[in-house]
Amino acid sequence: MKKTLSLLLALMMLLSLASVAMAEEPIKIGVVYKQTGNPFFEAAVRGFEEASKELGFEFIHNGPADSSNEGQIQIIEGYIQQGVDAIAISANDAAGVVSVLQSAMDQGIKVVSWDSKVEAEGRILNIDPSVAQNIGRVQVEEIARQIGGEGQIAVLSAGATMDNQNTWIRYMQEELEKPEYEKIELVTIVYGDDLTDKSIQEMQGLINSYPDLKGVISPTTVGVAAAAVAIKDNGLSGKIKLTGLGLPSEMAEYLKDGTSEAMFLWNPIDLGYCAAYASVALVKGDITGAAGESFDSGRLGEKEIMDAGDGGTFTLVGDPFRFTPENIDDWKDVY
Amino acid sequence: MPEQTKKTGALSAFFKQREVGLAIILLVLFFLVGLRNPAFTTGSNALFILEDTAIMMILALGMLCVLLVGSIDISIAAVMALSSMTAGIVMKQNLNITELQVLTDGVMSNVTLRESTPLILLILIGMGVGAVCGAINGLLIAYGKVLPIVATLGMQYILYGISHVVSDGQAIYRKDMPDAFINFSRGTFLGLNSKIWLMLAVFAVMFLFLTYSRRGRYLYAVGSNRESAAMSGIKSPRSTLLAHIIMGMLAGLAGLLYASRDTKVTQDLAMGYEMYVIASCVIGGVSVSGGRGKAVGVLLGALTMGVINNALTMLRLTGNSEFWKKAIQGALILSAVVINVLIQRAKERRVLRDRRI
Amino acid sequence: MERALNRLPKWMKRWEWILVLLILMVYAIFSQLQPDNYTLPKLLNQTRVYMVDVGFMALGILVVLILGDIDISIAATAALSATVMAVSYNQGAGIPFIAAIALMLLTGAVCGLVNGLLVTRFPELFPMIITLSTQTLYRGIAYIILKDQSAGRFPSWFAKDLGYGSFKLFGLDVPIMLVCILAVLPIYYIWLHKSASGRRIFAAGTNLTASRYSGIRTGRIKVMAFTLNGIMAAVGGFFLTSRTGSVKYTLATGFEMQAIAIAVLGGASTSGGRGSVIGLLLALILMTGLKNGLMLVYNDAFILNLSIGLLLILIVLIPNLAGRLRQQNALRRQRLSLQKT
Repeated sequence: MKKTLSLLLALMMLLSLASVAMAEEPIKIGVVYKQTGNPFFEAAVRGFEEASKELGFEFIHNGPADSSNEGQIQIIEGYIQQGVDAIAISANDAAGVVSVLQSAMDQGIKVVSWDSKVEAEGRILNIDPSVAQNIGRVQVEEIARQIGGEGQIAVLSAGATMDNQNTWIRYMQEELEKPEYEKIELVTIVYGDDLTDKSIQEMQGLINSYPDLKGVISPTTVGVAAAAVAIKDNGLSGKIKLTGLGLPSEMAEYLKDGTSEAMFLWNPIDLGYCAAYASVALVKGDITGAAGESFDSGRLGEKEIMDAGDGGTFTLVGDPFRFTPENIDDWKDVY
Repeated sequence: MPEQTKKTGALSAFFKQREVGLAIILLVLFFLVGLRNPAFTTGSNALFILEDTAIMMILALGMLCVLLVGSIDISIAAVMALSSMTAGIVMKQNLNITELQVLTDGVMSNVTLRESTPLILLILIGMGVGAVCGAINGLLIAYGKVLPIVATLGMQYILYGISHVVSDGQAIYRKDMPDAFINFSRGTFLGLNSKIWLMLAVFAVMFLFLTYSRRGRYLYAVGSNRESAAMSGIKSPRSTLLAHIIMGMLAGLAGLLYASRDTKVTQDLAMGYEMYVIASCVIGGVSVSGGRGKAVGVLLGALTMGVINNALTMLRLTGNSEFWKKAIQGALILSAVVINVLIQRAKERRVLRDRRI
Repeated sequence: MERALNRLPKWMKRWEWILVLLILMVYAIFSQLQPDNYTLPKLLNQTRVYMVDVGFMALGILVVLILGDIDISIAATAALSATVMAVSYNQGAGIPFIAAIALMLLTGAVCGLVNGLLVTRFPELFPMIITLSTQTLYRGIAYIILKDQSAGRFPSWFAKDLGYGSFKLFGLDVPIMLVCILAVLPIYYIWLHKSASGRRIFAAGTNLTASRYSGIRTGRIKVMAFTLNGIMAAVGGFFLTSRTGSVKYTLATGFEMQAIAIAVLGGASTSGGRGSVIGLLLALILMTGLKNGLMLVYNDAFILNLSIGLLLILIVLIPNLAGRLRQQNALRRQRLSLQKT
């Protein structure tokens, strides 16, 4: 009797110790985004904050000021040193961070990419904001509608190594091959590296070099805001049509004064929120990141993991939302 | 019988000046490009180039003073960032947004008014912060005897760091700016953009200062020969300090214009800009060892860079010509300095030759 | 206090001991603040990030600084050389990687050679301006070649074994690239400080004209130094690329100033005639420890740079002010003694 009792007591002590140990060690996530000073990522961090209140994990976040690959590698190395449990990254260079992330995974750190993915060998799971094909398609549809179905258009992108940009542009080009767009010509793609002054310069270059330019698509929040500044400063609001992926808080004014008639985005807060839930699920072992699994994503519901076709897996957050002068006021204070 | 040296008339003396040669080359370049693309030589394009380079010109005028005393300043971009960030935080905190309903032509529409601290105060804050930064640079270099490259390099890191801490990592966006500030770089007066007017004002003051004021001439003296200047009673540390304070003030002003133009203030504003400014000065005939250089030359140097920049886009060489700009700029600066040296050597040879004994 | 310091043996007053002291201080402070993360094994791993690539560049610029010159194009040289390596390996119809590496070193040498020739042929021009323009030129050429794209797809051992590989020594994981730079250091030390060739470099840096009159071929030495600098810059770029796995025209931006800062911290003077390989190594260790510690505590690159900038200025300023004070004291003592007579 005594033996069983003491055994039971010992077991209880062990269990309570274990639970205390587990309670003392909150999960730590290292968040890496493309750059600092970008309201899109500031909103995503708010998503992480919301999830951390619900799930009880800790996180640190950072990004390089110059949206460089090297800057992100340095940050990741620091996170590895600090012993984070998971890294959630929006990559500037899908291939460039693979080595350092593999080194992280070798040490047991779970890697999740969101917004702009890392190549399959460098991640466990990717969180895509929306179906990439849709993102490309709606922007082409919109610009075609705005310029009346014919004319020259150009694309002002972010970084040439950013995977999300290249994927969306590829789908845009595929969309443009459809017969209803045969009168539209995509003259060039320029890169602003998500830096405001470089983006403004590139847009100015477009205005100077292509006097017949009718429309511009800029699938990056920094780019579309910069393009709006350049178009407006040249007095070309309404003459060169503009659409793309823009933050309502930055673009509200331009939607109202006619520089852009409509633009798209998804909710970056949701994106960060979902990435947080996915990271925690991976760390806890609820999922392994394989296709067919699903995990709970809080207020976003149950998320299914699918085969991404690049050798890895991904999951979706939602659909792109169309902002117009009518509905912009509802969103400009949200993000 | 000593040979008489040739009489030089006022006209040929005028043409012998380096700055005039540069101006002529510039004009020739301008029209050559215009042959290929007529849109280049339009008045509106010329104005556009001027507007685009105005900020660079203001900075270059400040750098001129620094180079004249034999110093250098590679922290100007950081000064721009810190001064515009400071002004930005002030304007953001005092921002008042009022939505009005306006009746125009019988139609009701919404107008948003953004007001904050008066623009003139913001400018003073920006230039004030710039002046303080310049003063620190000057004190380190003139009185602390720290080498200018080391001092301003360290300051660059420090100032960008302070800009980051003060901003808490957040940038200032268009929605945080009052209308007055957004229009600061966009206003027009008599057809010319405000940036051009400001640049002309700075140029006029600088020209008068360097040519006619005593302190201005001191800068030249200190740069050419420090010991002689000291013998003549000029306190060279004071001139160096003054030069750096001027540079700081102008960097503050330029930073505000830059932020207004981009409608964004980031903690790393204008990173890398300092090299272009130094290049403009060098092309404009300013000597890096000090003592030589003119305000007009500096303007022409900046203009040359601006024209080349614009020309490359307008020439529409191979698709996107953005890629050639950097390499061409490098080759340009190199050729400019080498040509400078060759001209100087030829001059010295001629002087030796003319001195027939 | 000063008299006590003066009684120390001469070899202890050397600059290197101050660096050792700073290193110990930094280690003590940060191991207290971050006991789990600021440990020796983890620091060894971090040398990859902070020490090797910029270390090679600092070694190269050290020789140039001793000569009294400066070269701010080293980062651009690194970028261009790495670009050549990447492009020739990927697009050169599959030339072997070793050949690509050879081309990279050649590019670095050529870049350095151009600088050296310009500096010696045009002594009126300051090396600052020459290398400023070649910096823009070299990066511009890299930009023309790569445009906004990046080039990568190196053999897998490049990233896995060189970039992130290490081997066990006394139970610690020592990064392979750290071993590479540590192997080069003694060779450099012997050449620069113990050989006649190195002595000539110091002489030329102290007094160029006097050296020339003593028969030292200063022109040739300068060209050699700049070429070597270019090669070292390329090597630095090589190791940097092994970690990043790809090359963009913006590679190594800002590294030139970091390399100069390290050489100066190690005891080199921008006016020439002074420099120390041991000091450079100590400065590298100090910077690694300091940067890593700050990164752990603040997780902020800007604060990191701010501290480095502050350190750099203080390191140079304090001896100057101390010298000033000593001068003023000496003058005062002179005046007092004159008054007594």
